[in-house]
Amino acid sequence: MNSRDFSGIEQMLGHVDQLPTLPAVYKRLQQMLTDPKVSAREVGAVIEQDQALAAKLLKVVNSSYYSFPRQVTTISHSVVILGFNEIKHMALSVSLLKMFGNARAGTLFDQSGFWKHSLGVAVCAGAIGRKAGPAKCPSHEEAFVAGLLHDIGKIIEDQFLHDDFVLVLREQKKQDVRLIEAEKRILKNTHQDFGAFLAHKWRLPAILESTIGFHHDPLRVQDSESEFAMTSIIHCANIIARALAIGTGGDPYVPRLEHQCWEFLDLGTDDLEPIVDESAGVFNDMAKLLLEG
Amino acid sequence: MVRIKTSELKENMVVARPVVAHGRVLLAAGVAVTGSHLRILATWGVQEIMVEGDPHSDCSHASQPIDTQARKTIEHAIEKRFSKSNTDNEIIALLKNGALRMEIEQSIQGTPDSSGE
Ligand SMILES: [Fe+2]
Ligand SMILES: [Fe+2]
Repeated sequence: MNSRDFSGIEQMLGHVDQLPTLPAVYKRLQQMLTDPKVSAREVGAVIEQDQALAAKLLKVVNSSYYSFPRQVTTISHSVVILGFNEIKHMALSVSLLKMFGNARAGTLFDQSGFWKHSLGVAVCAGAIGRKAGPAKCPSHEEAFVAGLLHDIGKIIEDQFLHDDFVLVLREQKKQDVRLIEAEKRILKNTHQDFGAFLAHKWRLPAILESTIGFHHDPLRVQDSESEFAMTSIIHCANIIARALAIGTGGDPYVPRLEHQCWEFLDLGTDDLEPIVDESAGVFNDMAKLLLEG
Repeated sequence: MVRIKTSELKENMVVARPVVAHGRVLLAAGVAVTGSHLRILATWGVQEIMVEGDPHSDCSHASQPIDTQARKTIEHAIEKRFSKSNTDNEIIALLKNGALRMEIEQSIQGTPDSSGE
């Protein structure tokens, strides 16, 4: 775990007493899954307490992201097929989109474009994870949620440091720099820091905190191979989603690729095209499912 | 897209895949070949490259024309999108090429662009 010092961030957000809270269903699932005797039926029952969540989750399980040969009709069956942890990650993904996905219109920051970008990175992370194989990516669902959350710090900036964030967006436009550059100038911190802070508050797994905190500086993740692998996946997925202009990330630019990340995932040049094709196709499906209505 | 011997390559043909030699991108995808490009390729001993369209047949869908102005606009947008990235990296060069191809195809098919840029 690459622990970071959040005291500066805490000071900036000190006046905020209503940071978004972790979706309740995820908390409940996290507690449950520490019990080795827990059954698929019990896990299913917890998810089904939220009917809307359960319905969306079933649609996701039956989407092209998985392409299961047969339709999965119940949550407990999904739990059996995917596994406890995986269903937990997907439940978190769907709840997060329910919580934040209703874009606020009329602000300088394009939230609907933001969630398209996040979903694009999530889908692409899944595709990269599959190509990289289980040694580098043991869970596509974790890659998916990592992708969905990687830029969550921008939401914190937009909601809780709104006036400064407006300055950041103006600086980005005026100087034609990348958003992260404008963040450093105005806020002295980036969305990586605010996002990692939220992940820390939420007590999300260390791998997610690392990924959110270092997806633009992946080489700073040094203590753990699994954290480096996941951060590498998101680093690459972010670049691919930007290259394909899926959604918007606050500026129109493709970041620089740290080639070590691509290599670490044992990916070759031939792997790029299938990853791009899968991402573009699955994104369209998932956007209909999760972003519209 | 078609593979073509550099000896048969002519000016104004459009490069479909980045030409990489010794880890360096010699020619980016999307550029129209010029006389000096031909010399560069000869210098580096490149035997074959991929170009857009299919010069040996008329029934190729890939060689559908796109008007030069539209192509210029797309090229300009892609150039800007990748201007802060490391385009000398093989993967980024491939992505840039892919993005260019996709946008040109989309503009031929008239698919509405999903990007918010
Ligand atoms: Fe980011
Ligand atoms: Fe991003």
